[in-house]
Amino acid sequence: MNSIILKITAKYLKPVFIVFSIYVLLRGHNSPGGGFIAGLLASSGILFYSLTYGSDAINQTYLKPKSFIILGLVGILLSATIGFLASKPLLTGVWHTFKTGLFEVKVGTPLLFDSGVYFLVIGSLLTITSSIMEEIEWK
Amino acid sequence: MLLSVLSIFLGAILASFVAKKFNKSAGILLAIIPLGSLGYFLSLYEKVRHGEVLAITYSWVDTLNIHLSFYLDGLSMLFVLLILGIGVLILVYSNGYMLHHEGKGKFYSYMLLFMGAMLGLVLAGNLITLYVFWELTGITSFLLIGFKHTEKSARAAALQALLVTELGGLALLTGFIIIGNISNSYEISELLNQHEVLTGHPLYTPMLLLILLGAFTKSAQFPFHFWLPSAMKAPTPVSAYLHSAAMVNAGIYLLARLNPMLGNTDMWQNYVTLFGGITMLAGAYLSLTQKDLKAILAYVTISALGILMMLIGIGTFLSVKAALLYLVVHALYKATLFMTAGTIDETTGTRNIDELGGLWKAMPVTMVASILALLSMAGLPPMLGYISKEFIYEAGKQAPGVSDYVLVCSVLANAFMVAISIIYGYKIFFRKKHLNKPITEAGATFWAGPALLAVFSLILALFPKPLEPLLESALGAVKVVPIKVELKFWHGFNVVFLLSLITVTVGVLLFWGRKQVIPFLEKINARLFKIELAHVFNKTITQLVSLAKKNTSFFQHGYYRIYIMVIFIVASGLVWYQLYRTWTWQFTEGLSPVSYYATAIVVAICVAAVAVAISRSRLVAIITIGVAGFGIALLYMIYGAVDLAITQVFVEVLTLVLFIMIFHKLPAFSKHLSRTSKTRDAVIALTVGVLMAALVIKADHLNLSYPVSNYIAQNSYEEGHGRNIVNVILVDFRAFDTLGEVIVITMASLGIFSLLKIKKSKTTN
Amino acid sequence: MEIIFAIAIGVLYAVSVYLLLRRSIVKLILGIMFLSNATNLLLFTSGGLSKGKPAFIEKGSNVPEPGIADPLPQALILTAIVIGFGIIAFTLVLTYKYYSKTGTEDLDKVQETDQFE
Repeated sequence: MNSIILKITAKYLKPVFIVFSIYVLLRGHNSPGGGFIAGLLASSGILFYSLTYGSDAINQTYLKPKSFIILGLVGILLSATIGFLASKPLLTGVWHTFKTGLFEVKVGTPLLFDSGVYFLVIGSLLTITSSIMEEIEWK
Repeated sequence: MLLSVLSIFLGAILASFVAKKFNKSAGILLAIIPLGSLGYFLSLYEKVRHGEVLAITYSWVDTLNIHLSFYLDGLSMLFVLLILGIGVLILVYSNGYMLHHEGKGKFYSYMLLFMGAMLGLVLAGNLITLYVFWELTGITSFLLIGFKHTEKSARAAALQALLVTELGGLALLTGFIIIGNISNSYEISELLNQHEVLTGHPLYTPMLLLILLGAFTKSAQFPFHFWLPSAMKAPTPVSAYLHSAAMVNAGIYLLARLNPMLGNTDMWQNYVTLFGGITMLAGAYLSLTQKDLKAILAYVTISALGILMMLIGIGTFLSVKAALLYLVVHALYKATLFMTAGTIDETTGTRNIDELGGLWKAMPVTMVASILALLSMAGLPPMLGYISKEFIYEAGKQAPGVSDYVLVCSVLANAFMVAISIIYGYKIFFRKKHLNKPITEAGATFWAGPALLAVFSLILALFPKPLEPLLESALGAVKVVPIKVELKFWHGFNVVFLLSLITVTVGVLLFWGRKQVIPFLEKINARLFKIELAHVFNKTITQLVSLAKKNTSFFQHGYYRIYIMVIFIVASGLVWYQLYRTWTWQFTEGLSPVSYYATAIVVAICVAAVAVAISRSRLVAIITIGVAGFGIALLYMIYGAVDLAITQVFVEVLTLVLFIMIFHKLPAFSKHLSRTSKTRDAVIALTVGVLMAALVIKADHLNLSYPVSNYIAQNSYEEGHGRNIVNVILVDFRAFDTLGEVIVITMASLGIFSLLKIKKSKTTN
Repeated sequence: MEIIFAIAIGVLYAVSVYLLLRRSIVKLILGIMFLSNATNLLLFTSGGLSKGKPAFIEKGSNVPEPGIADPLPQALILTAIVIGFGIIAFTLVLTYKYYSKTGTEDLDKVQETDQFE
C-alpha cells in the first residue's frame, strides 16, 4: 500500500503498540490485561505495520515468528519448573517480594508464565499471518 | 526362566544380523541359542523329576491379579524339551534348506520369535501371560506361513490360519476371564485346587465351551482342521516345526494344563473325546487320498492331534499317560518326516507322490530315517510308536463309558495310518519309476536332523527307561498325584495285542488293494466334500467384508452436511426429551434487571446474525459477522468482563483482517440448494436454537453445588497475589489449562504454516 | 435480562446450524464462527449476569466485594476466544487450500479423501 500517511503512521505506531503491550502485560495481574491481551495487542501492531510494508516486514521485526514461539515455550517451561524445583506440584506459583525503599515489587513465576503466553501468542499469530501473506503475495 | 525366553527373543533380534554376516552357517549359529536354553532346562530336570515345581512371579498388573509368572513342572518340562530339542534340529536343517532362499534373516528371526513364544506359552504360570504368548504364537505363525509373501496362496493360507486361530484366541480369553472372575485369580498354582469351585459354577458350561473353542482351533480339530493343510504353504522347516513340536500342540498343552482344574466332568469327557475321535478318523481317512507329500503329512498331523485330544478327553490315568507318550512319539516322527519330505522336494523338485519313486538308492540316509519314522507312525515295532499305540488301545479299553467309540475310531484310524505309511514309503523309495534327473543325497545339514530324530526314536523304544521319569512327572502334573510309568514292548497276549493285529492287517489289506480303494475313495470324497470347509470359511469372510463395506458406505456416505444434520437432530432430540421430562419453569426469581441499552445491543446482534444467514454477498456477510462480534464484546463489557471484551475486540479485528486477506481468493457464494432443503435446514436450525435458549433459562435455575469460583475469588489475592481474578485464574489457579490452550494455538499456527509451505516446496521441485 | 440473553444465544445457535448445513464451504466457516460465539455467550450467561461489577479485588482489600461477576467462566471464555481464533484461521487456510486444489466450493463434491493429489 502506497499511502504515505499510512506508512508513516504505521512506522511510528508499531513501537507504541509494543511498549503499550508490555505495559498491559505487566499490569495484567492486578488490572485488565495479561498475556493474551498484550500478545494480541503487540501482534496487531506488527501486523498493521506489515500490512503497509509487505509480508517481509514481519520477518524483519525484532525476532522471527518462530523465535517468539520458542521464547514463549521456554518462559512457560521455566515457570513450570521453578515451582517444581521448590518441591511443589508442577506450575505452582512461587513469589518473592523485593523491597527497595519506597517501592515494593512482587515477582513470581505466574508473571513469567504470563510472559510466556505473551510471546507464544505473538509468535503464533505472526506465523499465521506471515504464512498467509507470503502465500497470497501481499505487497 | 524369564531369561531363557528372553534370550530366544534376543536371538530373534540378532537373527537378521547374523544371517547377513554368516551367510552360510546362520542356522547353525543361531541354533546355539536354543541349545543353550535346552542345556539350562536339562539342568533343572533333576529337580522337576521329583515333582518339584519351579515358579517365578514378576508383578505386572496387581489390581487385576495379572502377573508375569512362570511355572515349570513335569508337563511344562516335557513340552519345553520337545520345543527346544526339535527347534535346534529344525534350525540346523533350515541352514541347508534356506541356503539359497531370499530373506533368510527374516526367516530365522520369525522362527526364533515363534520358538520363544511357544516356550513362553508352556512356561506361563498365569492364564493371562499364557494368553499373551498364545496370541504371539498365532501372530508369528501367521508371519511364517505367509513367509513367501509374493505368492497369493501363501498369503491366503496365512490369513486363514490367523483368522481361525484368532477366533479361538478371543474365545479363549473370554473363557480365561470367566475363570478369573469365578476364582479371583489367574495363577495356575492357585487355580489347581479350585476344581470344585470351577466345575460347580453355573458359568462352567460357557467357560468350558469357550476354552475348548480356543484349544480346538489352535490344535486344528474338526471342524476347524482346514487351516492346517493350507498352512503347508510355509517353507518346509516351518511346517516341520509347526506340526511336530509347536503351535498345534499348544491346544493339547492347554487342555492338559487345565485338566486338573476343569476336567473330570461328563461334559469335558464327552465333548473332547467326541471331537478328538472325529478329527482322528477324518484326518487319517483324508490323508489316504492326498498326493502332495506335505499334504499327506498335514492330514496325518490332524489325525494325531485328534488322538491326543481324545485321550486327554477320556482323562483317566492310562489315557493321559498314552497321550503324553504319543505326544513325544508324534513330535519325533513328524519332524523327521517333514524334514525328509523337504529334502526330497529340494532334490527332486516335486512333492507329488505319484511322480516320485526309487529313491532308496540315491538317498540312503534319508530313506532310513523316513522308514524308521514311518514305522513309528504306523505303530509298528521296534519303534516307540508301537509302545504308544499299545497304550492308546489300553486306554481306550478302559475308558469309562466311551470305550466302544474310542476303540472303533482308533483302530480304524490306526489302520489308515498303517496303510498310508506303507504307501508313502513304498511309493517314494521302492517303486520302480524313472525320474527325470539324477538324484544324489543332499548335504549333511539336510539329513543330520531327521536321522538323529529317527535314531533317537528307535533308541528310546529299545531302552525306554530314561523316558519314564519324564512322563511320570508330566503325568503327575496333569493328574496332580504321582504315578509310576513303565514302558515296555511286550504286554502278553490280550485284547490290546489282538487289536494291534487287526490294525496292521487292515492296513496291509488297504495297501494291497490301494489301486481299487484309493480311486474309489477319491470318487466318494468328490461327492462327499463338494463343500469344502476352507471354501465356506473364505466365503463367509468375503461376505463379512462386503457387508462391512455396505454398512460403511451407508453410514460414511461422504456427504458432510448429512453428518452434521444427523448429529444435530439426534442431539437436540435427546436433549428435548430430557427437558420435557423435567418440565418446571420459573421466570421470576433471581433474574437480573432488564437493561435497555443491553437489549438494544442484543437486538443488533440478532439482526446481524440473521443478515449473515441470508446474505448473498461475501463482503456483507463478513462485515455483519464483525458487527455481531463487536456487539458481543460490548455485552461482555457491560456485564463486568473487561478482559473478555478487550480480547474479543482484538480477535474480531484479526479475524476480519485474515478474512479480507484471503477474501478475494475465495469463491463467491453460489446457490446450491433448493427452497425445500432450505426450509428443512431452517427448521432444524430453529429447533436447535430454541433448545439452546430453553437450556440457558433452565440452567439459570440450577445450582447443583457450591461453585468453585467462590474459593478462587476469595483466595485470589492471598494466594495468587493478584487483583485481577480472571488473570490469576489463567496464570495460576488453572495455569495448566492455559498451557494446553496456548499449545493448541501454537499447533494451529504451525499447521497453517505447514499447509502453506508444503505446497511451495513441491512447486519448486 | 437472562431471558433476552437466552433468546440471543438461541438465534446465534440457529444461525450457526443453518450455516453449517449449507453446501458452500465459506458459509461453513461463518457457521463455525457463530457457533463459537454462541457458546461463549452461553458460558457467560450461565455464570450469572451482574452488571458493572467486574471481577477485581479493590485496592486495600484482600477479598472481593460480594456480587462481583463470576471470574471462572470469564477465564474459560478468554481461552476459548483465542482458541476459536486459531481454529478459524486454520479452517480458513484449509478452505483456501481446498479451493485452490479442487476449484470447487461445493462440499457435496468431496466425498472421498483420496480424490485429489
